[in-house]
Amino acid sequence: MSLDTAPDSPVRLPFEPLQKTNSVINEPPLVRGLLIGAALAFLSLFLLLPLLSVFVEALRKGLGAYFAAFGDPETLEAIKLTVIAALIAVPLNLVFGLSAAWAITKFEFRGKQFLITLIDLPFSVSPVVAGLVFVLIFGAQGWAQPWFGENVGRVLFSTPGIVLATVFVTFPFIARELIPLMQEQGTEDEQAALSLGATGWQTFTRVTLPNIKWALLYGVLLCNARAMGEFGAVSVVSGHIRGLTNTLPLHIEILYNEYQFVSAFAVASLLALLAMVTLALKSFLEWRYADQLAATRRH
Amino acid sequence: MDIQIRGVQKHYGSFHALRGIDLDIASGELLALLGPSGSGKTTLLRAIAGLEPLDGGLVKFGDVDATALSVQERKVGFVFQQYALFKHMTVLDNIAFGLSVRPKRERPDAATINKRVRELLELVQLGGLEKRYPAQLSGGQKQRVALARALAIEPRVLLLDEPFGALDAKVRKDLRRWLRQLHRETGYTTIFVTHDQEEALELADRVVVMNRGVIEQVGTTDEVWDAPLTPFVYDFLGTPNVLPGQVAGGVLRLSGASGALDAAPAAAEGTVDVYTRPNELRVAAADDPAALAGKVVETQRTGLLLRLGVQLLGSGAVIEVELPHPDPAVQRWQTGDTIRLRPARYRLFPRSGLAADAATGFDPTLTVTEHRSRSRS
Repeated sequence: MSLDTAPDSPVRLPFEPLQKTNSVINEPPLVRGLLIGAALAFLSLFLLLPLLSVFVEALRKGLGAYFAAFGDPETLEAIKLTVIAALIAVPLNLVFGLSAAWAITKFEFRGKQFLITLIDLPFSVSPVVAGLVFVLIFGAQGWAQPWFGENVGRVLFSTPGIVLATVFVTFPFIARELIPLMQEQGTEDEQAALSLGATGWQTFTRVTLPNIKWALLYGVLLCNARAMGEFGAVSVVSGHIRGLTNTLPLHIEILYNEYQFVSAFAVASLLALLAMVTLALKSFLEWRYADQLAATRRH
Repeated sequence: MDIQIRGVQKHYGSFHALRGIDLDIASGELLALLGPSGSGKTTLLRAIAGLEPLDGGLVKFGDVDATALSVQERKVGFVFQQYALFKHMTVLDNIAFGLSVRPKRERPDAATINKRVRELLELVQLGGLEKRYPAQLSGGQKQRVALARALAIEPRVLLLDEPFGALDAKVRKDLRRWLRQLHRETGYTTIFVTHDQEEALELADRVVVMNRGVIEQVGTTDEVWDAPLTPFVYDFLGTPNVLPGQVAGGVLRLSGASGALDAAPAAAEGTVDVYTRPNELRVAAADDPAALAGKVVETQRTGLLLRLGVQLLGSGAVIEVELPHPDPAVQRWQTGDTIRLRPARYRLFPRSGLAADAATGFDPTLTVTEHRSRSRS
């Protein structure tokens, strides 16, 4: 019986294809040049230049002054607080986002559309409003404060408040990243795993998770970048107590307002580096695991 | 493993997908669930697998009440229409999945699993492809990996949902033959779902014809083809002509004919539909009073067959006739010729079936899948 071969998989050619682009849909060189030039100019002006200026300003007085900025105990405290907030907020949102995406894509229930809208809420409201909500709840006149202040402890103007605000603002990142992918993948793989005898947990860890791991990782990276960089909501709930409730972005603002430009830009360069590392990491992962990515169709 | 299905009911919202299904499946049998979309055939298959919770009724595997068992405990080998292969696993890992997820006590060691997987790969003729990922396989190869994966757990029963639906015609034919052979070799009780009558008749020992959540007929290939129990089965298997007729005083007379065609059972008294296939009509003599007169409006020669479209003089309806045409020297029927026809074989059905359709509010444009998703959101 001849049932072999004829795979529709991409065949590796032993030579490069002669023409990589299709001449039919190509523009004339002039148009091409103009379009590419416009895009590059725009990117340089609005992305590259500001990014560069951060580093230029930070290094204006030499490397010594640059590193001295990180020796400041208040800066170190700000870094510590930012890391703590991210370390709590990101895992929490990892669990929330995964559960929400799981519930929305693998089950049918009443109010599903409402839940999806709710998840998007932090994206659509201004972070300042988000911060104010927590002030209204936990502030001196807030309805939860009497009980909370007595039994749990301070929320506003301390670490819990900052974590809460960060969780709120970064909530949609992971769920939003996962929902479209999991919707597209459907539930057949899970059903197949169950019919083969896998338990619910085995199905999740061995089938669902591998199918979404790239989207999940991407979501975590984005979530982390935002958690560390969040300004508005955190600013409202923080109280700006130096060395205690200042996160990196807040600390940068204070330094800048006090005309400590080198310090301000040095700390800012840290956040800029974080952004670049995030992007580099993402690109590296995509490059390193291109085969698997292609197999699971994502990004 | 023999399977008994008793009074199985399933609703999706207001849609009644399974209306009390009773079915016995013998051990080692190759059974086809045949029906149009919306007939409930896939729902029934999923109900047997435990993927669809039932609203009522019983599914028994041998003496075990399977309705009380979870999907995992049922140990069925289910092959999905789109295969549902694990994309991030190699062919080898896909097939080994069912064995490797067993609890530690029951799990074979790695070497045994490996050996078993390699045996299965040979069985499905995919030796040498174990390191490939599903994305690197053709449709037919994916299908066979899915089958090997299902067989790896030594299932009580093998369930296939539209196994050849996503394949092109040539591969489909090959796979069909191959599946038949595989079934002979392994002897698993196998149930497959199809909407393709040719596929069902060619592959299965017995065919279950389903329509709107009920079983219309269960029988061997010969039985469902030669003796359709209902107009639906007649319609679904082939393209019959439906001729109106009257049964009065124990004799059948076709509407438009002057004489009686045949004796008829007294139970069929009244207006009837006479179902007859194009190849069951014969050219009648000019003086045959039971025959229907018509005019040839269309002729088409395919090989040894001559297909005629004949417009009946009485009703004006056009019926299809297939006549053998073995001798090219014989003058064949031409458009415009007058012809007289009488059915050599036919079946009577009382005229009532059609009126019932409108009453049920059945919407044939909605598939069960759509009902399934609608009822849940």
